[in-house]
Amino acid sequence: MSSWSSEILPLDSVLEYYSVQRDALIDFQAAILNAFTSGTIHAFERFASLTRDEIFELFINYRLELERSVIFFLLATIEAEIRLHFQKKRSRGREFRALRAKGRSSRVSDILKAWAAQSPDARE
Amino acid sequence: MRRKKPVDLITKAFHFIGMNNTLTIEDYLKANHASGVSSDVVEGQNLRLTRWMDELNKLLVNVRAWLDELKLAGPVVYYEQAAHISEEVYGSYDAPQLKIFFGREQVLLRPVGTDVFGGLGRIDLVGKNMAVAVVMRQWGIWEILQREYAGTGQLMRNNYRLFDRAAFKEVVVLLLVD
Repeated sequence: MSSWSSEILPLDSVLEYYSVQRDALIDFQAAILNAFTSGTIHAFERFASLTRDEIFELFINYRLELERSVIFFLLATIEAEIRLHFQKKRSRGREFRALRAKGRSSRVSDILKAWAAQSPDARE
Repeated sequence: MRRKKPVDLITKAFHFIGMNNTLTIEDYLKANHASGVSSDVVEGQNLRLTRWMDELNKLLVNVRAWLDELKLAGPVVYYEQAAHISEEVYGSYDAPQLKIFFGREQVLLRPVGTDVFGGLGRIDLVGKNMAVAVVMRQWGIWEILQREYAGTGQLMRNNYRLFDRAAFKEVVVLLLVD
């Protein structure tokens, strides 16, 4: 196993964030639907006069919004991981050195292409 | 050392929701015998639905009268149609809706349903670009719901204004010009 997999803690944090937020959302939705019958609506003024279907739709939208932001966080974290790992690597070829010299302006796709072009031994 | 008997997931889940897996449907029915039979519940739902339809019809009588008054001022035409409503608790039914034309512009008075959060019923007045919710929090009293937001976009409070002839005319102008 490469050192790559030992450096995925930030990705785990993003996934942990997602699961906590998703559970909170599920609990929130359950509380609102319970309030329909229990009458404790004053705590949820935002949902006043909405039908059950409209509330479901709102929560689907909340969830999609959460998932979109998590996907964005995941991509940003993966990109940061790739760049970090790339900066740490000893360069073998001219292409690698050129990309490193470009710093943040180098494209992730070019980094991955250069990486893939290396021999399996060099990639480890 | 004596090992504890492993508890399976289903047993855990039943305990979690306050049941144990020895409960049968017969036990459940015996335990709930005193709470009455389902016909009471259905009867209650039917009464609620009947009351909602009555209040809706009364409101439409008022709206038609307000529209007939407005006919004196210009071209106002309205048509009554059936709107199909489907509610989880009350099932599917048809309720009257009004399609109103002010000149060439249309406003729809659409019944939404009786199972609404914190209310006994809601209708929407739908214009070209926006809709206004009119809710019934007490039987027979219809109010326009206005949400007041802070600068951050967070809801500050809900304001309710009695839905009378003056309010109806103001809302219609808002729906036609916005």
